[in-house]
Amino acid sequence: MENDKMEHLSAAIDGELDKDKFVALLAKCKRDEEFHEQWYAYHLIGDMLRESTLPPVSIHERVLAALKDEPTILLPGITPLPQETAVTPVRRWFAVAAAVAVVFLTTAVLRPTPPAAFLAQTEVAPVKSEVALASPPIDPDIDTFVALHHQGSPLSGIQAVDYTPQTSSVRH
Amino acid sequence: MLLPTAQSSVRVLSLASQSANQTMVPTPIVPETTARPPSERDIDQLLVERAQRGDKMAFGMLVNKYQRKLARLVGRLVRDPGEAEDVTQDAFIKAYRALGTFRGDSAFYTWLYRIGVNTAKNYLMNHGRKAAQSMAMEDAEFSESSELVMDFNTPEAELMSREIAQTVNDSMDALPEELRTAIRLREIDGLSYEDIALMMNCPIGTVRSRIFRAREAIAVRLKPLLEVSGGKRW
Repeated sequence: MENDKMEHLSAAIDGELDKDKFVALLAKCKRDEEFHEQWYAYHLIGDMLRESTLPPVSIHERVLAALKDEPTILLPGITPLPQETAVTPVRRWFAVAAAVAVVFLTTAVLRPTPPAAFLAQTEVAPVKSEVALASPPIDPDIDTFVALHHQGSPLSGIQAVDYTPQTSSVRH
Repeated sequence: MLLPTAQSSVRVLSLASQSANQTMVPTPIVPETTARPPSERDIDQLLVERAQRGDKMAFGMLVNKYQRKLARLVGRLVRDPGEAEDVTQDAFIKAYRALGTFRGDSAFYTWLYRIGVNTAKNYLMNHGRKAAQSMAMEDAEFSESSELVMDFNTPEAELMSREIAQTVNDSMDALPEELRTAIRLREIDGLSYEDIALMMNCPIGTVRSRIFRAREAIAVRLKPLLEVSGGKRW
């Protein structure tokens, strides 16, 4: 995969890569340090092979540092490229925690009568009977359906909630 | 299916006749794609368009690509290595600010070249100096004499330049024949992959792979040298 990326880069430098593929490669590797290092190295190699007396100038870092203070160029009528949002570790963990919470709550809502073990550990245990009474009649097949889908869910390992059918006679 | 053009066939036959030891029969190779790949100019234009849409890193790639050529041009005019680097940097920043005026009517480097010359001229004027005192400005612009460059390289820069060139040459010598031929035909003779495929009697995909592998092998040998000279780049 890594070799494919660099081989595409090599072909792009020679003007031998399909434009769409180059655009995709740029989008994918915008912040890829190795990609930019190779871009530099491949051009240097070409320059040196063609003319070994080119000065070994390396000012691109200085130029980029100077450009940080420059206002971003945006031509009128041209759609700006989407700005990248840095995915920080904190944001990543927040996203995972939110996803787990949603799955957990969804599971709890789907379950008409929470398991006794769960209720015993929570303050909301007294609500149990009211919730159960307010629930609509349950299709006996729903437990099987939910159990199957629960087991097939990629999140089932993460949420670590044991699903025990409560609303029908089906037992696993 | 694209067949070899008359022009490329003629070139293949002429090059084949120069090789006494090898019999090079120009067998038509079926290209892997029929869509015309973008030229180098198209690639530059694409990077410019991305920069015009706010992607500074795309402009950085253009800087990375043309910094040596522009520095050489500016160096011929300014003639002081330290000043030449500053003026080259200024030229790139001016180019960035003027990107909105670049419409792709000319190649990006042609446009950048004029900015480089004008920046150098202004710099010299502002410092009360005449352009390249010992030679006319226009001569400097179009001179391809490498001696002129070496005259005003610092000893350190000259040494580094030689080391890099030597490493590239040594790496080339160490390459397997088919990789060396492929990258030579591309970088020195400027042939397209299609023409190289015809010459080497192999598919275009093989040419692409050989050129890539050659570059990788050379880049690996260059890496320690570049780390010493330039440090972390991105």
